[in-house]
Amino acid sequence: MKMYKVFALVYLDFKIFANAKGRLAEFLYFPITTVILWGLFSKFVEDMALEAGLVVFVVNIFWTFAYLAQSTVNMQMNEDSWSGSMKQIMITGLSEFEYLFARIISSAVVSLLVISIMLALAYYGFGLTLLTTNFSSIIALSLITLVGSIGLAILVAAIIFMAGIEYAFLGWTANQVFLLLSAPFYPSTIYPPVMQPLVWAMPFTAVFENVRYMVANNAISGALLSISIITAFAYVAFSLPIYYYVFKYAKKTGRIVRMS
Amino acid sequence: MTIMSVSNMNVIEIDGVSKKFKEQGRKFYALRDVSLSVKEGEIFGLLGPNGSGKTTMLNIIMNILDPDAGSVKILGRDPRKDRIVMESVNFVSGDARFHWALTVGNVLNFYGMIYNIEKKERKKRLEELTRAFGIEHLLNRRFYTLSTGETMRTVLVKALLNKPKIILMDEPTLGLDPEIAMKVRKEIRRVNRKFNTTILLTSHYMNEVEELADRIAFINKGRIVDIGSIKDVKGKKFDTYEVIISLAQIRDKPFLLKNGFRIKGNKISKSVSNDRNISEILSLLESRGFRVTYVETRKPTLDDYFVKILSEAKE
Repeated sequence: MKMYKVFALVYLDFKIFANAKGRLAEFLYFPITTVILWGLFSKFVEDMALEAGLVVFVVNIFWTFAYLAQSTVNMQMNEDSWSGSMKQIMITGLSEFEYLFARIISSAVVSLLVISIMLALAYYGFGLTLLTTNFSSIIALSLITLVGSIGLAILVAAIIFMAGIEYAFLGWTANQVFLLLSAPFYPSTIYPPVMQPLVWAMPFTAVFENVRYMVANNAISGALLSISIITAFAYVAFSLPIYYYVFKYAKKTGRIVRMS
Repeated sequence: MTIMSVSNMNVIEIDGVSKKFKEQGRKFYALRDVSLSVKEGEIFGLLGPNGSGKTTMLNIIMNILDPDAGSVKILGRDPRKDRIVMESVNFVSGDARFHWALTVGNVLNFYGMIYNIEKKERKKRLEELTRAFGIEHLLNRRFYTLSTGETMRTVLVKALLNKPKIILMDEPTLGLDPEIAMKVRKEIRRVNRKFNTTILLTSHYMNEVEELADRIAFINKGRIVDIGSIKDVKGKKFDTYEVIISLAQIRDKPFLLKNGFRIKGNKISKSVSNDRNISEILSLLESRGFRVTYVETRKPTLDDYFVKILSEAKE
């Protein structure tokens, strides 16, 4: 992997982020308003259902983070196609993994920065003390969510390369179904037994279970942590070869050219 | 003084390349067993009607499309196995686009970085090139706000940033007004001569190709129909050209018609195969007392060649 090519693309991404106000709004406006919205909700239900309010609040922060980490990877790829510059980028001797890795770095930097802002706001604005008492657990869960989101982003990128740019909408919609099936605000057992294998195959189920566990017990579960680590890395390990072969296929069928 | 030199070294070698696509359930050949080579330092024109396979060929050379069969070598290396060879190549397109949020400076810096040009050197090259192409004042402008001429100059700067040995040009003057198109052609020739850069270009403008190219390949329905120097390929299709003679006065029409002249106004014309024929014609006219006021020749252009080769293909 030629790191100068990766950093050139990261440079390009950050220039786009800085110059495109819409992207800045996506990175700041929605995450900040999400924290305010659910922070106020958690304050409102404090006397009625403290635990439920905190679960909704913290899960929403992780939800937003997961969405941002995944969609930023896919949206930068979509933007290359929509702006008609994919060909100009691809002909520079860039490999499919350099192309992907650059987008992962851009996404990781932005989304880690955003979750830091969200957590700081939750702590200072809404007194979410859980963040300091479980600081290392929050860091661990954030990193696992990031890895799972990247695994998902690689899978979505592969689907878009396979199916064509008409399916670019998956970049900002795919996460919703994965999050829904990851049982965010309720226990996974809410789903019928037949769906359990699917629910536990979701990248964020164990993370959300652990967030709820942390709110209830002021500590995280080691078993759930292990499951979430395995699931997140399994997504990356599963998605990477698919991405590789789909990219080769897209180069063979002319899909890359048509996306340019 | 800079000297352009076309060496015998092939910098692009395409051997037996075929590419099939599927459209609406029907398979068709975009390229069929295409072989050609481009020599170092030459300007090579790839001609053909719409859908003939020119852009498919360029996409395969640029390594963004894989051929079904055959091989492509750039500077003796296979870009599919050794992708870094593409750092010696650049691309100019008549409809080049970049993300709307990027400035000219962002775009050029990005290319400097992706071609691994060290920061100091990148700054130096950018200064030189932007000055040479008169775009130094545009660095902070968004790329999409540029005029067509400014866009093309920016794309040319981008194309020269990595000091490429080969530049691929897809319709470089598409949509440009004649004055800017002429400047772009001048730049293409200058780059070719100054840096001995090999240029492979596609164009719909035959006069452009005729003006620039050392050799051409004519491609139709995915096959190379003809390849060679412009003079040679035209020579294969046209063994005569027309001489047009203006006379002070038209008279003795039976004599003129008997000797194969066509008459139009005070001009007569005839097809000839070489310049010696013209001398003979002039002697003949003089001997009959005609006063010749002007002689011109109309040699077949690449446009004539293009039309002829397509009509032959239809037959």
